Amino acid sequence: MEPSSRGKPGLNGGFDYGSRRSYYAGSAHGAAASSRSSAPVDPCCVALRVFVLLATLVSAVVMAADRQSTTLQLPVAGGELRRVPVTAKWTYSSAFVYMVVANAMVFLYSAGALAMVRRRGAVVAAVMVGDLVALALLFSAVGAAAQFGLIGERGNSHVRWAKVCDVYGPFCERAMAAVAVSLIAAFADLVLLMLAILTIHKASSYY
Amino acid sequence: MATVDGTTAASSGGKTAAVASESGGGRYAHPPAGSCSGANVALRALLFAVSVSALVVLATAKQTVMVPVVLRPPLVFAPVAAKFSHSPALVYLLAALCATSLYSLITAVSSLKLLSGSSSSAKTLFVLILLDVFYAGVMASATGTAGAVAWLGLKGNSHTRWNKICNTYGKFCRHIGSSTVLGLIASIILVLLVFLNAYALYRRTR
Repeated sequence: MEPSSRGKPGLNGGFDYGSRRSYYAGSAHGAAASSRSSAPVDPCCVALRVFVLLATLVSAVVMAADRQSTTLQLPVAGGELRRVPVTAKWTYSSAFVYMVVANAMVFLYSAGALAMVRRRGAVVAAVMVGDLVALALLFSAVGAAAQFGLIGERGNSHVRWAKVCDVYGPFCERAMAAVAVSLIAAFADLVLLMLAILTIHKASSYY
Repeated sequence: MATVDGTTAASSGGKTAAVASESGGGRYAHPPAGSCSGANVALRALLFAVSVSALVVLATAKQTVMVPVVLRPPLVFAPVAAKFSHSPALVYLLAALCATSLYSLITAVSSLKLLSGSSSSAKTLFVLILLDVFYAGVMASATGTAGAVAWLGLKGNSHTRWNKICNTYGKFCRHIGSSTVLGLIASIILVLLVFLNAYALYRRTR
């Protein structure tokens, strides 16, 4: 309840003021309504959201810029080996396409949520819904891309899928880096959502 | 059939619970959103039914077919089995489904306790939301992983020369696909649970 002890009293004060008002006012609807119209900006949440924004952007860009050309020795008709140029691109894998699209969508959503961070009221519910959808999207995209990368790294002998990362080494490394950054973004989104739930819990009259 | 029966039984059980809470809610000073809690229990029972049926469908995904194997110039047909444990993605889905079904069973019981109107319902609701968010993430990632491997099996990838296997292992692929779709439904139910509980908590801020 001491905003000055945490620095930036103007930013923290909004929410503490509102929660104290609603806590003490109990069922006084007029006071509660006026406190809900104020703008509770938590610098921690804003920092996390900026981090999610940047991480999804970096992940999408790294994955979308990922391409590698190399030459393979392939047997052609006649039994001789010939060097053939081959290219690996992110559009060749549907899982990577899904990850780029999901990261771009979360990036756009985070930018929108950051733009309306000062609003309060019905927007906080919309932001929570969006956070939840973004969380599910990011986690499923990371799972799909990581699975594709794992098969590329190790192959699957049961269904005779050969590993390809011994040919496309740098391509695989960049793709895995993008997946790791996206995974960190997904966990940051998880923390963000839990902080939002904690805020609602603290503001609830039963606390 | 077993899936459908379990689902209807679960939802009807949830409805009776909702009715019970609405009839008993008037006795307390703060009626904790009777219909909301009933839907809560119903959704958790539905989650349990869905995850257990997905678990059963995934665990029974095994098919052995005779495929041509070239050892020497004469073609030899050998039995080759496809099992879910051959892919780490499907093992992950199995583990996630196990955890989710266990979790849904436990939380359905605790939601029933919440229905009976104990005083510490706000804290229980809070912990339930946090766990729901966590399990929604786990189920979403497991569904994405299994969906990617199912898609590879269905379509193959010509660029990396990974041939599709669903033309050979049709029954196995149907099991995997059904299990993935059930996992998707389970994650959607978890997201709905988070919405519902967060809304119930949000209504108390007024």
